[in-house]
Amino acid sequence: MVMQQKALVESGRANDLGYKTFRLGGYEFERNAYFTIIRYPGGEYHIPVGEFMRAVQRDIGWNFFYGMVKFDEVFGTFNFYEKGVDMFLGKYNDAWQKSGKHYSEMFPNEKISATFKAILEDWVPPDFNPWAAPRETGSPFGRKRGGPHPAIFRKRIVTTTMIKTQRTDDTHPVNEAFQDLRGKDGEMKIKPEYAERFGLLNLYEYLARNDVTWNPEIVSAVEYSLFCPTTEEYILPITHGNDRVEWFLLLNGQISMEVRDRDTGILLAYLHMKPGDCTAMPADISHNLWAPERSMLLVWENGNPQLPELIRLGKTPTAPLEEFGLK
Amino acid sequence: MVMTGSMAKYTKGNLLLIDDRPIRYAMSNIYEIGATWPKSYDRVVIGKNGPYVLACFRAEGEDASWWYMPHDEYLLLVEGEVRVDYIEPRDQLKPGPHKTVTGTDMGHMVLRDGSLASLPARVAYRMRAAKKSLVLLQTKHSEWLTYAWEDICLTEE
Repeated sequence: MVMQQKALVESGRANDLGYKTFRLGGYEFERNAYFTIIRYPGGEYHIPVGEFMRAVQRDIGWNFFYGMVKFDEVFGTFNFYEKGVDMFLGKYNDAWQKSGKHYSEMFPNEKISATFKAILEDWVPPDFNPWAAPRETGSPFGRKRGGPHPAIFRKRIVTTTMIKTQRTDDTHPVNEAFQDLRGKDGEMKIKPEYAERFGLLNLYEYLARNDVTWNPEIVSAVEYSLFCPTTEEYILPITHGNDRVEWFLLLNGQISMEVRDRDTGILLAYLHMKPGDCTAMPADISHNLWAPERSMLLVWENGNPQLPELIRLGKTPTAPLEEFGLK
Repeated sequence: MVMTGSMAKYTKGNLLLIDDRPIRYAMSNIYEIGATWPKSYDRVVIGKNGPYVLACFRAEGEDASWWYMPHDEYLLLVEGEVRVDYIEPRDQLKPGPHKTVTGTDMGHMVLRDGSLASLPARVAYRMRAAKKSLVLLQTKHSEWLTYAWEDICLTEE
């Protein structure tokens, strides 16, 4: 950990199991063998520690992503970009709202990010990879036994044009689920003097070799239009409440999802996607996804930083087809 | 084995609505569009987000048009085999389709299942497919796209 990050992190002595406790504003985070305990001015809240570490990994891996990242139905973060990141308990849960017991606190991105990274570095066991599907990794439970797993330092892949480097056996072996599902090599016959301006990548092969789950990474960009394919298996470790419309296109496998009102958590719908299905996620919902088998999902985002404000002002619809008068 | 789809054989998903309307999810299936859309190379919009568009079309035979856009585009060949020829135009062209383009031959690509390829800004391109193929296009809104939400989207559970 570099000195600058150390200054942002408030950590205490290790508990009897060997894990440090971390403080962030009015919150305190402690882990035991099975759970994360989140203390806040109104009391304490518990989350199973495996689910908590998987969610923290995505949250900082995506730099708090677009809008809301709920770790479960109660606790999570809301990204307000240059204004900071709001950490909340119950703020977007109908029952907690009605009880008046919800709590939230805004932090500078750097501070919450540094604290979450420090938690992972101290709490993640050496044999537990938070990016992996459950069948691929060890247990998050028990007393401290070294660590952390090196995967927590993995950087998200992004581009402003397109990815041109294919993954190979040397660094990215094909996932066993995709052994029978491979791309077919294309041919680039562009004259050498123009080759720099072109790109060709086999996306199926690239994704078959993906070493993480539930991690949209950018492979091509038309201005703010971002193709963010990802490989999915088991359950998305967070519930995503976007601050803009996003779209999903399932390339193969199967995905089901539970859709809820973003701000109250009240259930709205279930969607079951098959290969080739394309569907919109309106900007006023939250979604959790599950995949019964490893699946390639093309997530399509509009990264325009002005969108949340345009939606708030009613200048951009929350559901994509409203602009076509289909209601 | 992971579930796959094709224009020859596909299964569509479904919705179970507790308190919502199907049109908000604009759920369509690209294999169904590729298999059933009457006209090949007709760019059917399956997603729109502000000025940005996701479209799909069936490539079959030679496209009647060369395409020229002022912005980059990307193409994912979902299924089949497509050849894309590229020309650097001698003169700047109007955006959109053109019957003919004169300029410098830049070469071509042959795309197969899973190919993600660039269609650079201000480069003219034309596609041809020896067999029925399915293309996904990452582009921007223009007058040359087909919007047919009521035809392609699920409207009931």
